Amino acid sequence: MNVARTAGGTEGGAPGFAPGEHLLAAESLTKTFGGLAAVKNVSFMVRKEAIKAIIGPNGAGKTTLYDLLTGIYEPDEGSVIFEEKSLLGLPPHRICAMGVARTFQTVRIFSQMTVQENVMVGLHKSTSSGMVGCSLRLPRARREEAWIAEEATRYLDLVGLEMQADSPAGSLPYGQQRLLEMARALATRPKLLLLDEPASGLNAYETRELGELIYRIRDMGITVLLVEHDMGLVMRISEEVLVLDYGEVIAEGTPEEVRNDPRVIEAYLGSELE
Amino acid sequence: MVDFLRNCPQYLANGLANGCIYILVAMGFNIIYNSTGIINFAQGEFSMFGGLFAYALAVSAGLSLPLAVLLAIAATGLIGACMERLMIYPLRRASVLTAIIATIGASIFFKSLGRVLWPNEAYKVPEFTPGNISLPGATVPRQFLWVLGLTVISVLLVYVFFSRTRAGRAMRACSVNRQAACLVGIDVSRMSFYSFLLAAALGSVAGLANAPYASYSIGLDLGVKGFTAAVVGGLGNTFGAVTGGLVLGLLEELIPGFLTVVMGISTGYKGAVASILLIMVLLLRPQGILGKGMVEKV
Amino acid sequence: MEEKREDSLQEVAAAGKGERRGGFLGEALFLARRHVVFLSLVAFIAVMPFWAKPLSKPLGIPLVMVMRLVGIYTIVAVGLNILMGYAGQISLGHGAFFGIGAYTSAILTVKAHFPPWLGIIMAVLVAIAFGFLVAPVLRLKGHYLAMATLGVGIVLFVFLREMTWLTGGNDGIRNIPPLSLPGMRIGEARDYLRAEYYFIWVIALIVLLLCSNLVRSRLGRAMRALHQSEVAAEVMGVNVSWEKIKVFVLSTALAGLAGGIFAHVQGYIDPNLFTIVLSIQLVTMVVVGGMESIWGAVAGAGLITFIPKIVEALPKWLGEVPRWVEKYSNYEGMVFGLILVLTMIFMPAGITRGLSDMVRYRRSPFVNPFRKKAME
Repeated sequence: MNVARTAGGTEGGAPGFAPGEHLLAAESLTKTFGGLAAVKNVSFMVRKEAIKAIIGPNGAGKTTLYDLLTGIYEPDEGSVIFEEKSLLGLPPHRICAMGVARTFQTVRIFSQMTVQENVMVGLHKSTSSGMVGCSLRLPRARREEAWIAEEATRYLDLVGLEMQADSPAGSLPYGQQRLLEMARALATRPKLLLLDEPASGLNAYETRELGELIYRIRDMGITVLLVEHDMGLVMRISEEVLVLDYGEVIAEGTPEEVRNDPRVIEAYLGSELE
Repeated sequence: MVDFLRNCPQYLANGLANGCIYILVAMGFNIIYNSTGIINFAQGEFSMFGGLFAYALAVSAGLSLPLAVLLAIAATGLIGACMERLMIYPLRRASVLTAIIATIGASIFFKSLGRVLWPNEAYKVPEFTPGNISLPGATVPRQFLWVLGLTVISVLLVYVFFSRTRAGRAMRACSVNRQAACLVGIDVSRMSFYSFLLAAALGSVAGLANAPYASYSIGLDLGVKGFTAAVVGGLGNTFGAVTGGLVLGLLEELIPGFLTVVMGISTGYKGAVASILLIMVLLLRPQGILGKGMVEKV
Repeated sequence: MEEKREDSLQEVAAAGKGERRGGFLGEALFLARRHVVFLSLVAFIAVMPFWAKPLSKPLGIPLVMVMRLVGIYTIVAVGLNILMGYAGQISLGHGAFFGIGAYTSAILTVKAHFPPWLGIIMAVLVAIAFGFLVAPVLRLKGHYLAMATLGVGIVLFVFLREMTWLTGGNDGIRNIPPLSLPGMRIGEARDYLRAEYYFIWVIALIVLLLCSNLVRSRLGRAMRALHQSEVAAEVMGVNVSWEKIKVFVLSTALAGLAGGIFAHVQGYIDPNLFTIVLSIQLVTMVVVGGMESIWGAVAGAGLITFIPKIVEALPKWLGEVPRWVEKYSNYEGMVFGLILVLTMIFMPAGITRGLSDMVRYRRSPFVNPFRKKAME
């Protein structure tokens, strides 16, 4: 039964979509706001355990693309296939449960909660005690609670925020808030992590550290999609680059190919890639 | 059924008269919402003051009616202005929840104040022109013509104010983006002040139109209905308020009329019509029946 | 703005401590720490009737009798505080759910001869059913949610008043049997006030304990998360709309429970007890007591219930007062309105939070709203 469904999914999948090799396939995604196309006919695929970057000038539709992938908006047209299942029409929390996590361009941490509590929210979906269990502190709920605290500490260790576990999240400096968002996203135990400008607000040293962290995340078996303006970071760590301009794909390939693409150079006015 | 149809002209006339009052209250909500982003839960109490002040000045103090009416409008406007300075200004950076609760507090305070000063259930305010007019199938008090006229004039004045005058345009700018308005040199806090003044004055007109009876207890009811009218037409939109007020006024007559005459159900359910309409519109078409599709904000 | 934020952040830091130890010792420490507040409340409640009795007469306030009401309102206020303070969803209609609870139990015991305890359980179930029925309004936010719940309260009130065949209309329901448990006559005991008092407070304290556990659990974190950013909570895998419905239904269930008890304590009910005025009083208890604070609900319920009694008793203490002060019900609204407005302006976090901040950070519990800030 399982086999049959997998086979059916493969046949019905996007052309050129080979299961087992690709984690995510977006097919001709389009989203229009009040007559203005923010994302127009965008198709791309992400290989398993790859680091893929999405670049483009401001307003190119990168964040909107993320919103489409995570279910915050529904695309007007197109499809998103994740692990051979369609994500279309699913609410964000279901998409998260399937293994897609993200950070935000403008950080959206829960600033009135502690750093650790923020990460603990990411573990919400992996636990299940209900109202009765939680209010009576039944053994299972207590075990879960202890497990949540332990796991949360693990993810804080990973991003290097373990010392600030009990600080209010809102008191962290901006760069650390971004790291916290990553820890929180990782706590949902994703297969695909969408990072939205993780390097903004970081200095050169911190950016290098971030690169290392992204490698570590990939080595945990998590596929990383990266929207980033820091070209140094993008060219250094990503295996593939997708270039958007005015909501359309203008180039896709290895960093080397993209760097030399005349349309890309034109879009960036030849300035930022140097 | 025949009875119901025979009553229809009367329902329409009553609905139109009530609708006019709702329009005035709804415009008060809109003005404050547009310039401050606050829904003023004390809007209905402004109407209460309008009626009670008119009674106090015209009957207790024995002033001539036109003078009493003008003074009542001015006094209510003053109350709105005081409320803004003493309560809204200190809360200008507060959360939505805080602002809601504070205006609720103000509304309770005003109602109770009205009750202490005018404790009877109802006070009769003299009509501008007593007597009734007989129309085919319906009888309406002459007062109705005044209500209609006042409403039309108020709507036109508000429309002209917001589209033609500098202050009105500045207030609209505040509604679109307070920070940007602040940056281009609009005094946001003054706009908030004016909007309460204006909304209170409009509210008091509604209270006068609601005469011949003034009472401390009308505030909540008028407030909910005015807000319903504003939401039905699309919050913040002057002509939306007109549409919403008329729709609500008519439905509130026709539905209970139908239920009572045709199905024999108690008229007491009339009080639920506005609330049900409000909830339905909020859930099914939150931008109002006139509003364009809203862009979802994340 | 900055300063206020700093303060609230300190508070978050303090709140986060002591939750991280596992194992038996950790649990014991955890409970002991919480029990400082809880146990002192239990002790206070347990001995109160003994010293209250001789005190009631000179004070002119029947303390035990009033404390029964405080207990009932505490039950509602805790639920409403979780809904408003933790999950950030306002409700101006909870008076009606309280009324539904009261009417359910009253109708079942008077007309169908249910025992009161069963009536109260049914009251909870019916309030839960109505909670689910009304839950779609939770899609709305801010002002719209406030107005929609206000509308719900009005609609439910109108139906309570108009469905005379069931509710007796404006005449209400009389001769509701007093509280009793199987084998225990609470409301007909010799010292029935005290018996009712203990019955109510045992329930209220259990509710408080369970709720304070709840808000510290994964569900509590989910509520606070969706309060601060619905989008982020949703993307982190929290089913925001379902969590909102759960917490809303919890609060209506507690309102139903309190309402059910109320009916048997009062002995009679009519729809005018459950108007918007009650809803607003409940909200007042929450915001004055302290948002996002379980104990704030107790403080708020106590304060809002006692203020009218104290003002009514004032003439007895002072001997002579101006005529208009004598009839408190006339200007009750002015007192409540002022309390609400002043709390919002000067102590927006409520009394318990304001006072605990004062103790913890040695700063004034008041904010100065008139101070000019750099960026206006």
